Amino acid sequence: LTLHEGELRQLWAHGIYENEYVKEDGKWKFKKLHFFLNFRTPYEDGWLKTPVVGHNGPSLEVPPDAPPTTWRPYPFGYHFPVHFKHPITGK
Amino acid sequence: MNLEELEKQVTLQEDIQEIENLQKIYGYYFDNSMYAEVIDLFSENTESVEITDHGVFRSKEAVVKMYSGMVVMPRPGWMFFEVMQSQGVIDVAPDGKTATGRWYTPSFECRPFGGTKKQTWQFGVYSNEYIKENGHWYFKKLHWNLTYWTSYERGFLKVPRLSDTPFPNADAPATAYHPYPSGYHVPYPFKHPVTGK
Repeated sequence: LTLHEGELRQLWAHGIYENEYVKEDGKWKFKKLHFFLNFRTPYEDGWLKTPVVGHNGPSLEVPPDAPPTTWRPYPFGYHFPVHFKHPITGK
Repeated sequence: MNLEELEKQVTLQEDIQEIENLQKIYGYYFDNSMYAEVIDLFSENTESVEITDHGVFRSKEAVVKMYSGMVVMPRPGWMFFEVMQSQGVIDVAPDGKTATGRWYTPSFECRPFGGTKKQTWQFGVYSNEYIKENGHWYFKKLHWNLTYWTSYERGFLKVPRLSDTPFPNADAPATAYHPYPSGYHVPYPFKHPVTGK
C-alpha cells in the first residue's frame, strides 16, 4: 500500500535479487544483498501505465553511503546481469 | 543405510538440484532472449519442444530452428516478458538417467499488438523431461501448456487468450492446446508420494 496521487493504492512490486552469502561459524549469512526493482505499480494501472510509485530515491532519514548503483526500472529495458555460469558450457 | 545407499541418495539430491537450476536458468536466459545459451541447455538427443500452440519441434536441429526463429530486433525497453519458474516437482527415474519436472509459470509481459503497447498476464504449466549425459542434466523434452494469456486490465475470465500463435515451420501441430476455460488439467508426471498411485 502506498499513497499515489493523494489516494491509498494497492500495489504490485516485482524485481530481481542478486545476493551474496558467506558461511561464518557454521551459519550462512547475507554478505551482500541487492534488490533490483523492475516495477512497483498501482493494481489498477499496471507497469505500462505507471511503472514506479511510492518511495523513490535515497532516504533522507537514513542516508546511504553511496547513491544507487543500478536504478533502471521499467521501461528502461535493463537486463540485470546473471551471476551464474552456463551449466553446460561453463561460460 | 550402507555406503552404497548413501552414495545413491547424495547423487539423487545432486541430480534434483541440478535439474532445478537448469529449469530456472532456462527461465532467465529465455526472458533475456539469450537463445544461444538456451539451445546449449538441450541434449543432442532432444525429443521435442512444444510451446503453447506454436507446434511441435522434434530433434535438436528443430530446437535450434525454433529458438533461432525467436531472435528478434533489439527490443525497446518497454517490451519485455518475465516468466517465474515456480512450484517445481522433480522426479528422477530409478536408473538416474532421466527425470520429469512440472512447473507453474506466472508471468508479466508487455508487447505490441497491432501498433499499440499492451500489458499482459500469461500463465501456464510446464511438463518437461530431462536427461543426464556426460555428467550434466539437459532438457530432453520441453512442453509448455498455456492456461491463459490475457490483458492486464480485462483478466482471464473476459479474455482467456489474446491471439493464436502457430509457427509455420513446426514439424507438427500442437498436441495439447487447451487454454482456459477448457478446464483441461495437464497430466501429472509424478506418482502420489504416499499411495504411490
